[in-house]
Amino acid sequence: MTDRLLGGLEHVVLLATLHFGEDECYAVPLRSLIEERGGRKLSRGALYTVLERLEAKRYLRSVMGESSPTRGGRAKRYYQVTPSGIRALQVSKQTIAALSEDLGSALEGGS
Amino acid sequence: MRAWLSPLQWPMAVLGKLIPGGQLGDSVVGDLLEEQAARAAVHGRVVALLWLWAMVISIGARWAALRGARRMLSLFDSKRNKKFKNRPGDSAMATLFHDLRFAFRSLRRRPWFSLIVVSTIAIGIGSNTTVFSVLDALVLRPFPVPNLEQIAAVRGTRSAQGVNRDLVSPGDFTDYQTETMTFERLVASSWWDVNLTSLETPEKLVGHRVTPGYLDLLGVRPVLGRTLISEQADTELREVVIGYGFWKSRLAEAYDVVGSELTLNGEVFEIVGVAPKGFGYPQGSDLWAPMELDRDAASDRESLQFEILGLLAPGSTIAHGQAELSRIAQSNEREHPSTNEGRGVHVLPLSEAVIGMGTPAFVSAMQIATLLILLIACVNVSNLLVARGKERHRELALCGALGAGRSRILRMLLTESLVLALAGAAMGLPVAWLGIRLIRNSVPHRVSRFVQGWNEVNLDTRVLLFAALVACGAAIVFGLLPALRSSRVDLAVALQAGSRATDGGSARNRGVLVAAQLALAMALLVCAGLSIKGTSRTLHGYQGYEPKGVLTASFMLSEDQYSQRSGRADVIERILGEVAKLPGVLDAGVVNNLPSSGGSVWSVIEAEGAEEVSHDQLPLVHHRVASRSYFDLMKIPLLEGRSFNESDRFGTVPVAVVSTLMAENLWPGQAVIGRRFRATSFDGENPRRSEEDWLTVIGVSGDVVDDWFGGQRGTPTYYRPIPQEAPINLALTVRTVSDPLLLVNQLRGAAAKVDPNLPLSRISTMENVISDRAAGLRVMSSMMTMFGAMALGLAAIGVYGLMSQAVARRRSEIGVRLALGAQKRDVLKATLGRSSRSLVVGVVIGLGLAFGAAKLMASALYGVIQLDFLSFVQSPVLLIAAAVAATWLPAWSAARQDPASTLRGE
Repeated sequence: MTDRLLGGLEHVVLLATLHFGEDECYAVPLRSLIEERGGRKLSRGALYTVLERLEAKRYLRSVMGESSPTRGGRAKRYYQVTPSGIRALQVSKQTIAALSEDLGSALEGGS
Repeated sequence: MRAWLSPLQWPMAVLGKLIPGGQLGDSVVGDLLEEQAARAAVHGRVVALLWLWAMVISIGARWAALRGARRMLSLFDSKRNKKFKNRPGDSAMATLFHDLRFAFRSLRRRPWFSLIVVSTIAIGIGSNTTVFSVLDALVLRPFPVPNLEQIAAVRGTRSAQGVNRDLVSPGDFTDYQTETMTFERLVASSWWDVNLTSLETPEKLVGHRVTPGYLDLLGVRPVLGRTLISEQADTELREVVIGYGFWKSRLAEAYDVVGSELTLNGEVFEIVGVAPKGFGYPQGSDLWAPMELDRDAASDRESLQFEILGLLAPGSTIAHGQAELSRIAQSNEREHPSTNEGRGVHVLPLSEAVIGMGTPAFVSAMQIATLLILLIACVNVSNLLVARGKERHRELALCGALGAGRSRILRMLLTESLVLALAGAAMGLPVAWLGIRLIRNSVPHRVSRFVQGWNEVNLDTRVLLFAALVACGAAIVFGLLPALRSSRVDLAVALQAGSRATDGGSARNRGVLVAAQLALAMALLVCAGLSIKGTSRTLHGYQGYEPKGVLTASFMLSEDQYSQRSGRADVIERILGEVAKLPGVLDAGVVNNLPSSGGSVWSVIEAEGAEEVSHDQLPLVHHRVASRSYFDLMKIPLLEGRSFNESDRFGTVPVAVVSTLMAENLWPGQAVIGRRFRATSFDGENPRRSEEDWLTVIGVSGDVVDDWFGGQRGTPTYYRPIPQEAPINLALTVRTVSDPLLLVNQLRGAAAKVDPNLPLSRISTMENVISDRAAGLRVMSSMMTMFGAMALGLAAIGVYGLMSQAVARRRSEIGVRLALGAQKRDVLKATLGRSSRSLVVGVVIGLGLAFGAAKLMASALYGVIQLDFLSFVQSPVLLIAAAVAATWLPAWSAARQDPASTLRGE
């Protein structure tokens, strides 16, 4: 599995997850981080399905956390990147870096 | 009490069905609730709720699509040819799930079609649920009494005057009470004007004196303390039960109020209980105190002051009660002819008696409107489903070819309709929830308190059942017909490439459906137009006086303090003097009964020298008492003679100003000034009929519109000068230079200067008085406007859907014509020509329907709705424009097609 390249959205979500510590990363702050720092809109439906897919691929694992009254007593689901997730990110990064080499001028022009 | 999901739980329940269950689903729900709470804090609850629904739909749809895609992939896996077969091993459940999956998938493939159908059903069901809820709370169970149908209201009648909801005298009540066998219990209440003076600011309240057992009969369970104790009713103990609203607003919901004291009309009362929330019967009462019925009362047949309620004995009916009390009333007529002649009794269910005179009309107009909406929605949906069924011939033929039996296909299609209907019902609930809130908030509390049951208007579980039933019934109706037709598929024909469904009979059907839809929409549009105009006329039309810039306030003079007429006239004069001194006040006056206030004091009058007729055949007119300044201040024109002046004092010749209508009725075509008439007051206080009471007419005033049921001319009225009559219940009228409401505090101050214990109540502008009186009308016209817009939109969608399908089917034919040299114009003309017939038929039938519906409305809302020619022109124009646009769009796109590409496709 690890040699398969990550999808664009998968890549983004995995990277965003790494910004959080243990028991910090659940869907709500994750999405705001992607929207704020990533500067791109992300629908909740898309996020949940990507999270589910990443978990199925074992790039993420999740634990159930605490609940609160504002959540109607429902627990949070905390996500964490697994070692194979990290590996997938590394592979992606290497692939992209290798392919981007010598393309500096083409990639930098315009915005 | 109500086992009902809260507005937040609904979307969550829906989402729960769409996404995976377990911990994952739970965490998603939790995330949404968390964000919803944050949003509610910033943008308000309604916005947050709408957002939540949007999220439920978007997340649910994505997850469902994902699941669907996975299933699709697995379709190709292996052994999938059995897909459409009912395998012997399949349980009924498995088949059902399979049908459901199939239905979801095929609906998702045509998102616009599904969206239109679901929202059409949602609008139909939502509006009906709204109206049903209102009807339920106001008409079916305005009281929390389990045996409401056993409770009757007893009212007096005066056949000659056509009065059938009159009050009853204490003497007659006592007779009914002692002689009845059909009623287990009869109780009575009488209006009790109360000046409350023991709290910091004095206040005028609405109270009722009630006979023992009154509150218990209505099922009142106090939230604090107890009700009035029957056994102690005739002792001199003064106890009072207070209303929930009063407890909340004036006593700060203090839990220790029971046992504390209130000074009411100068007497000390002990609070013994607090009535439950929402209970304010009769007439929005704030206070209930026991009434003492002594021997004098038992013989008093003059003063009509009781409203009677009765609990029917087991086995008795309203008809039994009516028969028995009528017998007693007849014998009273014989025994006491001087008072009881012409008086009868009217027994009716309480639920009928509590709703105001305008309410049934209001509710029935809404019912008719929503029924029409539901009908249009049904026609629309069945149109779409039938047309869709034809489109799917080949798909279904394929199912058949793969081995699906006819019943199986039928079930699949039915499941699909059912899914649509249930989705529509689910969407209809938020529509209804919003609708109910809209209606509830459209009536100000100062008006709705008089409508028993208004606060109980809410969605409840029975409405859910109602909506679900309607939805399933609709599904069977919508689904069965097209399904039956579609399932009768000729395999060979349908599977031929490029085959087209024959279009002969269905074109006619389509025409009929379009016509039906347009006709129904037309009826609604015309009614909407009429009610908007009627309401606007009631609010802003001719009143006979100038309401703009007038501030009004009610007050009641204490009977103990001002027992003498001269004392009352004097204090009124002093108050007017103080008010007139206020800066910004042009003029100040008083009247016993404001126009359009809903209150009325009636008198039976008799003209001097007129033919002798029996007492009950004398005309009934409005009796007003006004200050000298009243006519000028209200800008009521004086057409003949003079207004009141300084010389009209107590002791001088009793005089009156009569309205034009009264002058015409009493002395048609004759000189009026100097004529004499006399009156009997029927407001329960000192009925008089003596030689000194002849009143001389000194002037004729313009007519004043009093009640929207009364039409343009108002009611015959006469006015008496304050110094000669001086009642205790009065309304101040103050004409101001600028915004009247700026003067509220100064007005209170001026009254307090004269008498610190004199509370002013119901301070309001004259314009608000009129608008409150028409609150029900305003609700109705805004609802009708909404319904009219819905009908127009639904009809346009329906016509568009049908026409575009019809055009699509004839696309290749049109292509051939174009290729053979037909002009675009001709194609357009031909397509529009085909639909113009149904358009004309629809409009003509619609005008007929609209005329009937308008007549119904006009009879229900007599005086408000007037049939005018313009409404019957405007609505058709609007509707035809919408219909032509809806037909033109598909026709235009067909005419613009490239003939070559169409021919290639053949």
